[in-house]
Amino acid sequence: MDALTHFDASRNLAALATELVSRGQDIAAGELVWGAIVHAVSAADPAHEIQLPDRFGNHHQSPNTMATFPNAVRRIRERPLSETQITNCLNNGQQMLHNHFYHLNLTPQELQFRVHLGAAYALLLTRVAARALGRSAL
Amino acid sequence: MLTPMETLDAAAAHIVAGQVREGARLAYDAAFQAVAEAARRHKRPCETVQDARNFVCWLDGLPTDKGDWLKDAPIFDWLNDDQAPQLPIPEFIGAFDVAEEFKRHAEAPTEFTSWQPDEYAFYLPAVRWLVEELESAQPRDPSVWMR
Repeated sequence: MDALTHFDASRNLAALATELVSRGQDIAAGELVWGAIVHAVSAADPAHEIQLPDRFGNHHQSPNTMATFPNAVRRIRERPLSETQITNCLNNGQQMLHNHFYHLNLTPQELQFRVHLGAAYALLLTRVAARALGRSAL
Repeated sequence: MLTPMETLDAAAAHIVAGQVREGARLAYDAAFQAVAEAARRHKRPCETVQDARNFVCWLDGLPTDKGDWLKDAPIFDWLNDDQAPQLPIPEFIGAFDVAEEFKRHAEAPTEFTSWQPDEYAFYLPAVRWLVEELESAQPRDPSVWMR
């Protein structure tokens, strides 16, 4: 998918997550926050559309795993996250929020904190993607 | 007695050798020991895991009660507001979270651990960052989270 479509998806997921948080639907909000982060990274990654096919034949990979997220973030020209932030963002998004979506293993307070921490990363990365694409963040 | 960095080096050696549970245990021990030493320098308590969490939150400028941070920093309003300020990222609690993941993986029955062997090596640098940064860390001004 092209960068602008990923950018729009990121903005839409962030808006939906905001609505879900206001309704107390933190489990779903957490998954959408992580999705907003991943799509923002896809949008800002200059190599996202030119990667070689993965083993399933998809022409590019989603930056949502340990194997793909760090390299995609490192390719973004602004270098928006330090190495530690890359690890922490992946841990918070994939290990905490995404796992909780399936396993429900966080306490309600812990989940709220993780959703908001993820939103801090989403806030940063959607703006980075907007600048990379010459667009308004909204 | 080993320093936190020496303990972390031992953790790395175990992980490289494939002894990931022992490596994970040592990685968490290194992190907790480093947090406790830093807390002592700042004359703040650090006897329990909750104390350690409170201390790293304090370094990030977050209230020790996470609920207060959520109330005071309307991040989701900012996420949808082009004019809102860019938030800093709370790094110390983020890195301590990673250390706590090591603790969970050290304590969980093998069949319930979710990390592949290379994930132990992947996440270890975040703990190293924590141990290094704690030596000179000063608390962030909490007002950055308010609007």
